[in-house]
Amino acid sequence: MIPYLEEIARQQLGSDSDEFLQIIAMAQSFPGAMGINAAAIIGYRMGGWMGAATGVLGVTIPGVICASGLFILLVLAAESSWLDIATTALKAAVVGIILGMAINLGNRSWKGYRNLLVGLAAMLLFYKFQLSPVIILVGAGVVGYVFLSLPEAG
Amino acid sequence: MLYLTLYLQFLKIGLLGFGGGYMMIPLFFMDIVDRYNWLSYEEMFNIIAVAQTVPGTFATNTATLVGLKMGSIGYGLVAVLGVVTPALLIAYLADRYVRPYLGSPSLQGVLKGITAAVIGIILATGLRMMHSAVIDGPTMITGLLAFVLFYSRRWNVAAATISAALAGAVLIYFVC
Repeated sequence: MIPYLEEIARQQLGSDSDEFLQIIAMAQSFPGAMGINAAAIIGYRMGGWMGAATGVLGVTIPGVICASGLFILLVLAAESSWLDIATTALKAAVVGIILGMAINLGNRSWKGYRNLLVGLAAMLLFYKFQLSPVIILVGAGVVGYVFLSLPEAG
Repeated sequence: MLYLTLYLQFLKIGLLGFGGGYMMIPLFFMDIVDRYNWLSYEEMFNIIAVAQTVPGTFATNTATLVGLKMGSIGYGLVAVLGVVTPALLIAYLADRYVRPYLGSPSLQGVLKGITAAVIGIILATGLRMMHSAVIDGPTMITGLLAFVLFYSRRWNVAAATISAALAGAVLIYFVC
């Protein structure tokens, strides 16, 4: 999705690579899918609110249609014993992906013991003590503001 | 009014989904399953799994499927609308209020803290889901295969998920 967004930013906004990287950085700083956020920012620059809404719709609709189509197929196949096997396998595969994704992100962000400590604390609070993710994220933001704002805190 | 509750719920999940869509997984289980009982744990897990195999973003695919499973495409569209609403706010805020502070150490510090915590929560969620999905030899091999294809071989999410699941399904069929 990112290369396509870059092409649009280049053609429609005349953005250079630096400007596009800044858009991506902003899109990543906010909650939500990075692709949708970036599409909204680019769309807003092109045509205000309507532009942002159009951009978001554009990146969302294909997935909605594909997911709906797949859902209908799954309903039609609901009686088949194959579906049970496929679902069991799919769920196991997804667990592998989620753990891979977490480790991927960890390699990038858990640099230095302070980041690692915040991450492990969050994991423990969530896994062992079932603390609400909302509270953990707010706490992590405050801890980040106090302890990770220093330039040397990598 | 179910439509409004659904919209607000997905808006909340969208607002908390830092670090891409994966942070939303624990929120789906917490709110859709435990709090509102709209779906069972199994149904939610299935939807999260299926959403990975479809093109588009994970968050909106999941929202669509949750709505459809609850009974209509109308629910699906409302859920999608809720989860993308923050993006519209972001588009407005980004250039005006965030761009000037993008390099500020304070904002970077807050984001570093949140990102570090998000990873911990995703890791914990993955481990929790592992307990219910990895139940025997074949499922363990399937999970490992997906992990290796995605993490070591750098395949994209959909390709790694579908390939590992197909291989796993064949394995389960012949073993069980």
